Amino acid sequence: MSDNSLDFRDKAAIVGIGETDYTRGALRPSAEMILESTRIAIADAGLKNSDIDGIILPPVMITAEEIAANLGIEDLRYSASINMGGASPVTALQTAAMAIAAGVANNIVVTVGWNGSSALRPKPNAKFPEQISIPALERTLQNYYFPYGSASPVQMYAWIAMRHMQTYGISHEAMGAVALACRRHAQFNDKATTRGQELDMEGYLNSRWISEPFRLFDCCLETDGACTVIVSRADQAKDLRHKPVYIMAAAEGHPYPADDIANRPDMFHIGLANSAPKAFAMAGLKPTDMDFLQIYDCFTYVVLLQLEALGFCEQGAVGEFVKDGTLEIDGKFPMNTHGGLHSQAHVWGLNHVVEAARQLRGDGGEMQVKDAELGLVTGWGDFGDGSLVILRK
Amino acid sequence: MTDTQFIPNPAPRPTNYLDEQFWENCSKKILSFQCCHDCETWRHIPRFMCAKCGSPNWGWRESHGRGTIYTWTVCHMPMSAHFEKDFPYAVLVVDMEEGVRITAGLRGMDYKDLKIGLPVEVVFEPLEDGGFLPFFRPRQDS
Repeated sequence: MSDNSLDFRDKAAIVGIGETDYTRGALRPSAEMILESTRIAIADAGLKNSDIDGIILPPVMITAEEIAANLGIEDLRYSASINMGGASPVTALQTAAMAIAAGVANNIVVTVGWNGSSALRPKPNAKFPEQISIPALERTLQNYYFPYGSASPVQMYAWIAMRHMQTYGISHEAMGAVALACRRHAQFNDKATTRGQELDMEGYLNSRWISEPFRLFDCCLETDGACTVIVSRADQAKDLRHKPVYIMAAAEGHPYPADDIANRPDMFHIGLANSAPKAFAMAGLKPTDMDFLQIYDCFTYVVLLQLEALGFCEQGAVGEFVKDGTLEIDGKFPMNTHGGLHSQAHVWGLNHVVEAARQLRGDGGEMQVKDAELGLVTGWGDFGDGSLVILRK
Repeated sequence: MTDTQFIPNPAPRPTNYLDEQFWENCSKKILSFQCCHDCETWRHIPRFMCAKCGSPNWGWRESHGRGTIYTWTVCHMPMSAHFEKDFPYAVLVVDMEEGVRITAGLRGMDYKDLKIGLPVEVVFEPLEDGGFLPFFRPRQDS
């Protein structure tokens, strides 16, 4: 770390977690779901609404000021919006820890929620259709990707995946290993949309193409739901309801150029390749110190790219790394113990943070990782922005 | 997927004069990229400054229209009705001789034969509502 960096290591902790039901067809406004998960999280922390003095969220579905107005927060001291797509929630933990270390706020709501299944795209039955505006990417999309029918993240991340696959000879079974680990873990999660829908390698390989090299079971779920965590001052967290989960380190990273996948000098240099070394240095730890991983899994291959960027193996060696159940609950690095976006729900990966907090509280249920003390959560979004947080008991 | 209309119209929608000029050149069947007046570095997508030397001085230069396949995807789920006729279709990233990369569709070959490094060249196709879009086909001279 450079000398002028703000030291926020262990200055903040996750003290409350809240989730709505995760469904496909909620027919409730996103804002209402966000407020529900926030009420649950505040109560879980043992705080009062009036204790909240900071709100951080991606710029979608509800504003910080609307949340404050609903919760009756008369003096909102800090608010921020993070523009990193699916990486926003994990980046928000960094932003929250910085704000707390700087003394700007004491108890910060980090939240996200949407009708990702029932109202995001123009759907015939949606009375109040919801839109996500991605200002950072809109120009590139509308001018250079959309005219060729490349309109969805599944197609754009496929460019990176296809080149990586062709360059290093990664097998479809390696992608399947990610899908199978997520699906296996989801079978034990109360909120998992795919509970009761087991998946084996044959079923994975037989699923239909969406955008090569991605099949249906390389893609995550579409979900209606919301999720909130409360980040508070570590020195006050010990007196709250649950054992605090400390934010040891966090960092955000952007690929270059971030607004166009095609013209990156090295397409495999994703945002996480910039952020991971900073976070591990801040924590004084290395990737193999982690007891579990919650990796942003909008698509299976995105997990493989992140495992390499995190430093779990050399570039191109991830096929070997994920073999033989490495990512499963009884493997070396259990991953997405709740099922992930792939098999639990797509709540922008804030559900990964909730699961990490559960694991470190020892509340992981049947998917509890034995003696879990250190956990890693990543976020991935826009065209490959990447953030991570290292959490400890 | 008739309920999923991401792209109501495949025509590019310029949001500034840089994009507008790029597409105007395409409408004359000219594939052009910006080139820095000061350090001669080509760039794409269009930008106001040279990322290499910081210069705001630039001009359009015509591309040779030749490159190689850098990567691609094959879409089996058309994102709007417009693309259903081409289904399934490949979307390429092409490494141009000028040192920039461009996204485009594939013409003149089966996507199953795509591979990294395959030589391709530009070919223009008219848009329904006017203008032309660059696509790429296997190099005829190779």
